[in-house]
Parts: sequence; C-alpha cells; structure tokens
Amino acid sequence: MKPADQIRRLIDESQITSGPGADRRILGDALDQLATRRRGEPALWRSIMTNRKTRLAAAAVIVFAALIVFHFIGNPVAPTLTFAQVVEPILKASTAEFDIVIGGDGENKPVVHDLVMGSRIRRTISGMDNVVTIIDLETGRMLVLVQENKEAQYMSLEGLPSMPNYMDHLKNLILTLQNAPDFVIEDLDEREIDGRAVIGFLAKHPRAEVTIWADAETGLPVRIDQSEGQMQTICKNMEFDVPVEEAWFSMEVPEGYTLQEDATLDLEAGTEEAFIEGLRLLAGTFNEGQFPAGVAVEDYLKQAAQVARQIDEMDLSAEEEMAMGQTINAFLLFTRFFRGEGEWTYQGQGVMLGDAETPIFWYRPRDSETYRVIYGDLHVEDVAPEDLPEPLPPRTITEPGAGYQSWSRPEFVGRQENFYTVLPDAQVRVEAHLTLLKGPHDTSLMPIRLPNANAPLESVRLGEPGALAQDLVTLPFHAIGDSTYNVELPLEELLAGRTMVICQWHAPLDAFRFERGKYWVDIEGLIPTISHKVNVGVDPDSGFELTLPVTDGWANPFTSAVAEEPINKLGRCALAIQKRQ
Amino acid sequence: MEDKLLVYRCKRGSREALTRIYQKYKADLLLLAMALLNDRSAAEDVVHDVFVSFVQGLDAFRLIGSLKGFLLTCVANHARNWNKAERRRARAGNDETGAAQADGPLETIACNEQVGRLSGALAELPFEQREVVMMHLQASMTFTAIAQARAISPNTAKSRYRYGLDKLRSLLNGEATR
Repeated sequence: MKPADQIRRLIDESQITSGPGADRRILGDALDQLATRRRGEPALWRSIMTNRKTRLAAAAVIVFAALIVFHFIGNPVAPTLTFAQVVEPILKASTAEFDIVIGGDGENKPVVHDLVMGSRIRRTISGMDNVVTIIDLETGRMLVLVQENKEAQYMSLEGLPSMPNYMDHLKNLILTLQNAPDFVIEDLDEREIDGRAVIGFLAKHPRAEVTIWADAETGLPVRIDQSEGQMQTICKNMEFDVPVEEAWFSMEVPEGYTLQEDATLDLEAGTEEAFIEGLRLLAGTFNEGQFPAGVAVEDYLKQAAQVARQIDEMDLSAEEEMAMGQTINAFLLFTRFFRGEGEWTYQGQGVMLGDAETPIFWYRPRDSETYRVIYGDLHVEDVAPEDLPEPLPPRTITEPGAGYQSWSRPEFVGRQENFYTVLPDAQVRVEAHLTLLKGPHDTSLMPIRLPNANAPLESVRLGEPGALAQDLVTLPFHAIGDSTYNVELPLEELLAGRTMVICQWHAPLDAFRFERGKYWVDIEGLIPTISHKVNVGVDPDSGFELTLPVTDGWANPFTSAVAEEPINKLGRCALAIQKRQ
Repeated sequence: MEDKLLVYRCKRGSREALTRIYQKYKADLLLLAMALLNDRSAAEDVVHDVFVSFVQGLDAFRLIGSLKGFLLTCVANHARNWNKAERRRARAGNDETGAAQADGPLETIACNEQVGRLSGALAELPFEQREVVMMHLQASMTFTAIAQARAISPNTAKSRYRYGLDKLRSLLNGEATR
C-alpha cells in the first residue's frame, strides 16, 4: 500500500472525541465570545431596498410575490362595479396604470406599480427601481430585468389561468359580476383620499368585500379596496387609456443584458411540504429561530426586502440563491392559492423552531374530516375538529368577540362611534363612544388622543353598550401631553361587560376645515379601532341643517368596514351640514 | 449551502449555529491538531483558540470554499505557532508545557489506537512536512492552496509532501514488519 493511502486509511480509522470538559471549555468560550459581539439592528424597509447589491433571484422572489396579487385581481371574486360612471372608463380602456398595495394602507408598505397593455404588464416595485418585470399573460412568461447589473431572466408561469388580454379579462369580470345577486352595494358618501374628493361604494359578497372610490367630480375610479379571505389589497392611483409605447412591454432581452438560465414559477407548487420547508427556512435562517409574525403574502412582503438583503449577505451562488427563492415561492403559494376548506389559522409568531408542543398552523384539506396541525418542530398531526388547539389571543380582530378581553399586546383596541352635535354658538359637542374589545393585561391606564387641538377633554364615563346616561359612571383621567390623556379603567367593570367608554369634548366649528362649501372632520380613533362611524346632528337653534337622510336625529356621513387590523386614522369626511336655507 | 447558512446565522449571534459548527467539525480539527502536535493538551488548546478566533473574526469573515478547509487551515496555523513557541521554550530550557499539561483542564480528549499511530509517525517528520501531508491528505487541499496558505511555492509544498511520505513509508512499513 502506498504511504499516502496508508495515511488516509489511518485518518479514516482514527477516532477522536472530546469529553464534556473540552466541549465546555472550547465551545463555552466561543459562545461567550459570540455573546459579547455587538449585533446590528435590522434596517428599515427603505434603507434595505436601496441596497444596490440585491441579486436577481432575491428580486425575483419579491416580484413573484407581487405577481400573486395580479393573479388575485384576476380572481372571480374581484371588484364588481355597479354604477355606470365608474365602470365605463374601465370598459372602454385599452391601457391602464395603477398602484397595488398589499396588506392595507400604511407607511413602508411596498407598492407595486403596473402599466397594462393588452396581455402584458410592465411592473416595478417601490424601492427596487432597478428591477423591471414584463409579464406576458398570453404566453405565461415573465421577463425580469435587473438594470443595475444588466441581468435578465425568463420565468415560465405554470398554472396561470388563461388570460389572453388582461384588460378584456377585467372587463368581462365586471360585466359578469354587475348583476350578481350575491353582491350588496352600499353608498359610502363623500370623503377625501389623497386630497381628492371621492364617492365610495361598498360591495359585499359572502367571500369578499370591495370598496370602490370614484372621483366625486369626474366619476372616474381612483381606488379599489379589496379584502378576500385573509388578504387585503388596495388598487389606487388608477388611470385609464394612458399613452404607452409597445417597446415598454417587449419580451425581448435588451441589448447588453446577460441572460440567466430560465426559471419556472409553478403556481400549483404550494403543497403542505413546501409550506413546511418555507417555515423552516424563514424561522431557522431569517428570523433567529423564531417563526415569523405571519405567513400570508402581505406578511412576507413586509420582510421581503430584509430577506433579500440577508440572502445577499450569505454569499450564495446563483444556484443556491435560486433554490432559496423557489423555497420561498412555494411557501407563499400555499397560503395564497389555499385549496383547503375554509380558512387557515396561523399563530406561530414568537414560537421557537423545534418546539414540538406548540401548534403553529392548522387547516382542513378539502374533503377532509380532520384538520392538519403543524407544530413548532414542523411535525404534522391529523386532528379532529373538536380537538383543535385553542386559539391564542388574536392579533387581528375580524369578528369582535363578546365583551372585553385582555391580551398580550400593549395597546387597547375598540370600535368607535362619534356623535357631533352642532350647537347654537358655533360650537360642536363631540361624544366619542368607544366600545373596548381588547386591552393589555398588565395596566389599567388607557392612553387616548383627541383629534382636535385646543379642545380639552371634559368628561369620561363608563357603562354597558346602550346604557342610559344615569347608569354611566365617571372615570378619572389626566392629561399626559397635547391632546393626549390617560384614562383610568376599572378592569373588573370591563370584564363584567361595561365596555363602553364615552369621552366628551367641545370644539369650535371653525376647528373643522371648511372646503368646497363643506366642513370636514378628520376620522381618527381615540385608540386603534377596527371600525368607525360618524354621526352628525344639529341643534334646532344652531342655524344649520343636515344634508343627508336623518335617522333618530342623526345623519351618518361615514361608516367604515370592519378592519382586519386596528388602525388610528381613516382619512376625513364631510360633516353633512349646511347653513339652513 | 448548510455551512454558509450556519456562518450567516453565527454572524447574527446564533448560539445554535455555532454549536452545530463545533459539533460538525471538532473531530476533524482535533485530529489534525493531534497529528501535528502529538499532544492532546496542545491539540485542545489549539482547537480552543481556533474557535474563539473564528468568532472574534466573524464580522469580517466571508466563506470562500469549504468551512471545514478554512477551519483546518486555521488549526494548522495555530499548531504551527504553538510548535514555534514550544521550540523557543525548549531552547530556553523552560518546561512550562509540562507544567501546563499537569495542571490543565486538559486530557479530556479520547483517541483510539489509530490516532496514536498517526500522530506518532508524523511526529518523526519536521513540522513543515507534517502539515503539508495532513493538509493535503486530510483537508484535501491542493498544493497550490497549501502553498498560498503557507506563503511558499507550490513546488516547495510538493517537495515537503514527497519527503514526508518517503519518511513515512519507512516508518509505517517498519512498524508493520515489527
């Protein structure tokens, strides 16, 4: 035997083990050293997205996530438009331009900008200005162009429904749904969005709610808010028949670009196994061993840029990046094109990967009598409906529960109904009826913020919803800043069902902005709210009258839909009053 | 890709990832250290220093090639430094090493007979030959890579390897015939 082979054999047969003492010393000191290192803070969305080193695969993941939104718009429960002025421009348009925001309004949300011509969409995403995607629905392909490093890649979209012309598809959809008996349309009256007066129509369907806002003067649709199942999207800044050039939608690779290997995005790839692998990757690699806050597309988009940056830091090869991107794609597809019965439930936030006791996700496969429950160590069990895990305190409130509940989050959440009464001395009395739904378990001090400056809080009372005035009890409060107060809540009273807090203050009428012949009120919750209603009344001696139909003395210029997550500001609406004729 | 993810997670402070790296490669590293130094206490010291240095340098660390190869090269470097220090101590007639061995929290490494044969045979070679033989045969490093790591020419690396093997041939064959 050659000496090299002899040495190799000795090496192979050598067994050397470290005892607990050596492990404690070597690994212990290394771990101590690790603990003393200063770790960087996660960057914000914008700073991450300006990272110029984002690579093709990571970018493609984000574009793909947004592509799902496109698919969503093409879904058979998409917007119905039932009044001619709003429908007409869409039906006549050959091109369109709009922005899509996933997961509702809010700062730092990625915005997908689409330019549509026939079957093709030219897509960019905020913060990723160097990536352009051309989507061709007719051939089921998309071309991703990374302008920074001149890279191009074709992606085949398998499982995409046939949609030869996106505009035609949208038109057919509208025509089909216009007379659908399931839809109920509710007028939302006038309000202001992005400085523009708009009229709203709320279309309700058992599976979806769609709010369409049209310019009050031109009747052109400007924004569509849509919620279906567990996903919310906003389509806004809509323009139709915008001038475009065919070259913008070319599927040819521009000169000077390096074409990468083709990839395939299979929209049918969202299996349970793929979902579990995605959970393992997101928790184990991108989230310090903890499961993420959410698993829906919008949840991923919130962290997509950070994931892209992290992938960039890993020095992966192009193939490795692509493999990781495909894992994430398949993960997203599972919840996006969910094929189970009813809704899925995720409550993995903060659970550590490897926790075999804690259920993090469950759903019922179609035609199955049992549920599939995924645990923190990613093993799966079939569970009968009666044995499903007890839900944790919900982080979102879609269906207000009965009474008041404490939860682990720090904020109070409720529903709010404001009553504005115009008084004779050009004053407005405001009563905010706040029905509390959730609150932290460790404090009885509820901070509130009044919308009007120079309008101090006068009283706070507590009672059961619908209680008579004499049954209300006064609550103590004290100012903690400009227009902000702490209200002392008796938690035992809340738990006993006395959950309505009534705050009262007065504001001069001129504190409400007067524009276009109307007084406007900012729609803001005293605390984060899931629904908001505005009622307006006038004192007979005030010199004002109401401009909307009156029920029990009150006009109702604004009623919000129930939001999936609590929000503070909803914009503004007209007070529905005018000087008495 | 696992090693890249482990390094990445280490950079973000993951104790689990560092533990995984240690468990994954400690036997290889200890074996190399033993083969180069023929001293269990010194081998443990060297692997200890390699891991602590690895963590200290994580921020600037970029994994190019294999993590195992990188760590083995680090062990060879630390072993070389330990060997130089040992020679200095021997020249000065200082017997600190023996004292350290007696006191140390060491001797917590268990080796089978093959480790003894390997390190015993290699101990007969000059250190420079030992490390080239082990880096080539255990870490699967090319002579070019060894040359770069040692700041020598590839031919020198090859010569050291050849001389080392020639000597090992007689050592191992002699041992086999005994």
